[in-house]
Amino acid sequence: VTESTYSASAIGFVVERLDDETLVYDTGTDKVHALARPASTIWDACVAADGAATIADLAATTGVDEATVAEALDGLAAAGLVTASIPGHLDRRSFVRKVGVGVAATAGLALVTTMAAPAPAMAASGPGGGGGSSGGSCDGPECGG
Amino acid sequence: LKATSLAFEAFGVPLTVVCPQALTEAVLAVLPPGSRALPASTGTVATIRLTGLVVHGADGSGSMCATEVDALHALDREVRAVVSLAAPGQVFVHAGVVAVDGSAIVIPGRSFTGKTTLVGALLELGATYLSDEYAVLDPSGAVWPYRRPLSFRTRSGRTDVAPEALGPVGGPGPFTVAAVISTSYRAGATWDPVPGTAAECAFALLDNAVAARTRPGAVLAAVSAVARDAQHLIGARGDAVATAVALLADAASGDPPPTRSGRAIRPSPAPRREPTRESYP
Repeated sequence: VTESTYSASAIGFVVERLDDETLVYDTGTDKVHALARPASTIWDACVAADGAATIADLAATTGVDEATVAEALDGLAAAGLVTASIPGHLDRRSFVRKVGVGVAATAGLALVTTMAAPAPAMAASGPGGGGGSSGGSCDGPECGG
Repeated sequence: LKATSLAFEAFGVPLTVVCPQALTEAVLAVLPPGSRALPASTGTVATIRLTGLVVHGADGSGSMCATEVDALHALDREVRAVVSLAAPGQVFVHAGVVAVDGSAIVIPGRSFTGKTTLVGALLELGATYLSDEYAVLDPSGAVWPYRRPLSFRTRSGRTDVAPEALGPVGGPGPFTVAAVISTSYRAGATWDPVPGTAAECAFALLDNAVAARTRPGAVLAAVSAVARDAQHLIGARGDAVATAVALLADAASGDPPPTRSGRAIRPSPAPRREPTRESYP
């Protein structure tokens, strides 16, 4: 069975590093992704590998266990930050069941979180206009602005 | 009606407003804080026109207003839209901002999240007013004031209150951001925040950044600079005064809720007045 390889490119993205997280702004989709440390590590490794990395390669390169690599790739692929040489090859749940280790380390944690960047009109508000959804709505006596 | 042309610069953005001469003073009153007049011959990046009750934005669009007051609000909105998008080297995040002992507390959020009420409560407790509209971030993540009158929504419309009426007004800035507060009003809620990660802090600011899509590099850099050092607290709030008291009490105790950075918010030494809701318009 041919094993899929994973690739990533930093072109077209604005990247900012936080302590152990990475913010990635996709200028093509105007979406912003927050990568938790494992996802950040795997994304960097995919970029560096230049399209030739398998899950085993990435695990060996980064020291991250294969289940977590698979979990990170799953999130990165969903965010459009990595592509697989064999589309759909990675079935994370099957892989995790097969590998069966490392899941506890990431269970319940989102390795990749995505938000859409607001359009200017959405982020603006003021007397008589604007508004948006950030922070929820407020219709009580405390909704001064 | 005879028209007048007002050329001015705000936050580094040169603009022109054309309006009826009789409304000159009223228009000057709604220009961004710190605006300064420019010679009429100065080239500006946009022209906004007020003709009767119609406001023509920089993009040529027109909006018909019901009253003169509405027209001035619309003009204000158009001017802010241009300035907040184009201000060179600055990132405008829709937020309320106060200072406590020289450090800033930023409360990002759009309209109808109760932001102004919480800012008002913090001011009543002795915090220093910096903004009810924008956190103006520079590339280092420091915040500059945008002091315009607080605009409270009331059942009968809006009431503007001069910041001087609600306590001390701080210096020119910039201010280091000590805390970012992600909250919105929920009836009956008690302020019991959880600390957010740096990425969550950046997201909270980014979600309210006017130029997020037009200048993503500058915006991401500025919000990340804030997120690296500021503490981020997330939670629903009930009563604004109780929340403000809790925020400042945490700061005063020197033992704020657990955070990544541990940066403390220090309270203003100014004497505190017992706030009352009735003191707000």
